[in-house]
Amino acid sequence: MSSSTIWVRRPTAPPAGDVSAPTFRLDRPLAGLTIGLRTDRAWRSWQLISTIWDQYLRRDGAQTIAVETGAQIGQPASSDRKQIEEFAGQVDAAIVGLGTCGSCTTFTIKDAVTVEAHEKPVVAVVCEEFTVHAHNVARHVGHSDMNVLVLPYPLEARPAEELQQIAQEYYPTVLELLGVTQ
Amino acid sequence: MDPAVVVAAVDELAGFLRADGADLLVREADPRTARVHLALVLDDVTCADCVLAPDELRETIADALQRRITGEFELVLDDPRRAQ
Amino acid sequence: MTLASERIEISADPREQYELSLREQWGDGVPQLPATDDAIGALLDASPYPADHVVCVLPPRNGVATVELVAINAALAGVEPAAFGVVLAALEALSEPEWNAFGLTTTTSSVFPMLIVNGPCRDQLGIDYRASCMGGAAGRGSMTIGRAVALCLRNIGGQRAGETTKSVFGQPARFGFCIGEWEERSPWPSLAQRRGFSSDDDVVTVHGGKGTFPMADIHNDDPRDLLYLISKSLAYPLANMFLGNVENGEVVVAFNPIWAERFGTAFADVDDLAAYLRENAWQPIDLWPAANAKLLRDRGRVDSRGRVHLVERPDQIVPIVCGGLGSLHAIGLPSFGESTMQSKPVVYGP
Repeated sequence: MSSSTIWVRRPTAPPAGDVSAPTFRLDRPLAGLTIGLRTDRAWRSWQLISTIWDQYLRRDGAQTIAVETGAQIGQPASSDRKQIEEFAGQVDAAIVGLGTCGSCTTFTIKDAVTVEAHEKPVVAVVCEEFTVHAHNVARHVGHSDMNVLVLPYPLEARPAEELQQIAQEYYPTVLELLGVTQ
Repeated sequence: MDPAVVVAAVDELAGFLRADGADLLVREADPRTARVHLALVLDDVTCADCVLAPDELRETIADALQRRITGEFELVLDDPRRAQ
Repeated sequence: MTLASERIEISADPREQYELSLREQWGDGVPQLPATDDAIGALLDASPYPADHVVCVLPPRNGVATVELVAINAALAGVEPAAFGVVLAALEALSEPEWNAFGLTTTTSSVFPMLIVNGPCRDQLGIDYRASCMGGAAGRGSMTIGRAVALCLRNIGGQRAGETTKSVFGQPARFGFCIGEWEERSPWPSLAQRRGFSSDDDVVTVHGGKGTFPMADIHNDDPRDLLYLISKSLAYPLANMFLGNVENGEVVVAFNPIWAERFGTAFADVDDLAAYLRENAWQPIDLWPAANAKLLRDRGRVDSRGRVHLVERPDQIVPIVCGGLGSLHAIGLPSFGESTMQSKPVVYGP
């Protein structure tokens, strides 16, 4: 290194503290509970998987509420976010997806945070490629301990039979993350 | 584009045309639009055949200006012979 | 002048500074200028805001962008003091909720802020709007302002390729994209005027653009024919705006001055031109394979004539005039979709 030096200022923002809002668990069986499912208009694969989980949840004694979002700006987005807020108030727990692209992962976490801010158990569902991103976003909005369920990637173009198998295979993990007991 | 440079260049070119009774006038030389708008005047021309044909005249003017003007410009030349 | 940011002693050797910027990940891979207190101070003096004024919070890491921190990044990029207000205005614009920085900084898409500047400052600051304005003209303002905004997103917002941003390809504009409109060659009011500002205002409009989409024609001088072809070109089948909500997003289309003049003779009112573009920016549903066509139908994107329109409204197609006098070309700046362009006036210091 040359001997002459200068003084400069660091250009980066200080790292946000690793604050994590609390997470919640049901710690009870499903019977009598209302479980919410948030889907996204963009992802056919997730619509199918969540429809199957909806059936399973009702089979296992829960009532379900399903909401669909699809916008990030404008009046459609305002309606979506308002709908999620109401949804968070109505459910005992929620499953929120799907993070299978950059921005939709961001908004999946955002909507999951809304549920968690209502002190309800929530699972954010993302595809494998976006796992790190999901955790980053959750950390940056102060929910670093959020439950994230990771599904295979890519998902969208898989045939219905494969998606059904995936739904069946991952359903127990969803219940585990929500803290459902026998 | 410096309008003064355009005016000087056109005046130099016009000198050749004036020998035959023609003239070349600057209608506009606007650096904001990069447009150089010239008009060929043939009202008092004494030797019409001595004035370069329209395409050749335009090319000569464009070359002369390009050598003096930095950057792009649009040359608009009103030549009464083209209106016929 | 009291600055809050950490002070670091570094080598005075520019090459060692460059190596440091790479190791510390401050940079974009291109050498930077040192952010000394003198350089930062000169920028701060050009702003009416105090150093600790919060301009915005930048995702994805929600970094707090104070004027000081923005000045540091602007110093790295070589922004001159007179241009600092443009950087601040751009950051204010992109942090408006409807621009959707939250989504755009993390998406797999290539989208990035594209700055379009109007007003008298263009020449003064070296903002390119003539030949090669989208790359190659090398105006100081264009190259440094765009870069400063990009560095802020990187150093303050924490955008890191593959980590916090999932952009699959990125795009050249991620180094920085800042152009002006050639207002004096436009047959219509400028972009800023159409968005409610006066011709004397210096305004930055930030558009979430996915890249530069080139279009060319050498055969047809008819304005309506050309605009028809431009419409069809903008409505390319894999455009983002076919993926999501038809009512969201804008696509910018840049006309060279020669074409603009021609289009202006056919459409004296730019709203009529935009309506014509919108009317023709569609593709037949049969163009898409069955799986895609089904989704378009399910989402109500197919009209009664089997047409899938790119956008719902004419104002979602935004013409601007810039570029050189060689004619023959137009450029589309395709939209991410879920983002609305935002404009802010430039505010100068005393």
